[in-house]
Amino acid sequence: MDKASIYQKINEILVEEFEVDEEIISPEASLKESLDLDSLDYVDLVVIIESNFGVKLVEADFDGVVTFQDFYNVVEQKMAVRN
Amino acid sequence: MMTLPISGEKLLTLIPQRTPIVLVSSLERYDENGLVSSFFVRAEGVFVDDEKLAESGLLEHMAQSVALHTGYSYFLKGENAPMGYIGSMQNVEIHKLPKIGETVFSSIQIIQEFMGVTLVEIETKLDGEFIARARMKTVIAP
Repeated sequence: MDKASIYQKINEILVEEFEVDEEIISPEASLKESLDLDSLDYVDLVVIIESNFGVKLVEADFDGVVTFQDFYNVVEQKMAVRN
Repeated sequence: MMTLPISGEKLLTLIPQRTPIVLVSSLERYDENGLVSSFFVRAEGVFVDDEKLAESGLLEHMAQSVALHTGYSYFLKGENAPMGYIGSMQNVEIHKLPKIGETVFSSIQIIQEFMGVTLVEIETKLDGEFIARARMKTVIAP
């Protein structure tokens, strides 16, 4: 799966899971603020990434994650390590 | 050392709730990803309404089953059971309520634990018949 496909799939599942408009998602936008994430939501984020991409995110993976691009990078790196 | 099943006073050391708000009667089976608990419905229970366990009581039983898993896992680590609370409930289905004198068995399956939040699926049976299900997030109090 190439980068663009990964990013597109992440966007699609975030739109569906968090019921947000796709237009609010951009690489520079804040992940937390755009999706209105609270502490209970992160566990959902971990579950949907694991079920869709087969990688398990841990707490440390979110260190330094601010934007969607940061998040894409984490998922992409995790997938690369797995492969 | 506690051997399963665990009930009575030993069970109370594993959960923060106290009588009359205790809605688990035994810990039947345990592993790190889930457990099976039971609850015997007594006539004097505060969650009993019209000879049946109220929906709120059944949901509280489910939540206490999750607390029991946390409490027993802490016991195995040599630590005291922590306080916690229900963060959210989703996909709740209740098809039947147990009557006084009946015992329900609940299976919990931990789906994910992240940043102090535990996401679990709970299924409750009565005489082998599925009667309720819920997805719950519980949070350990800091």
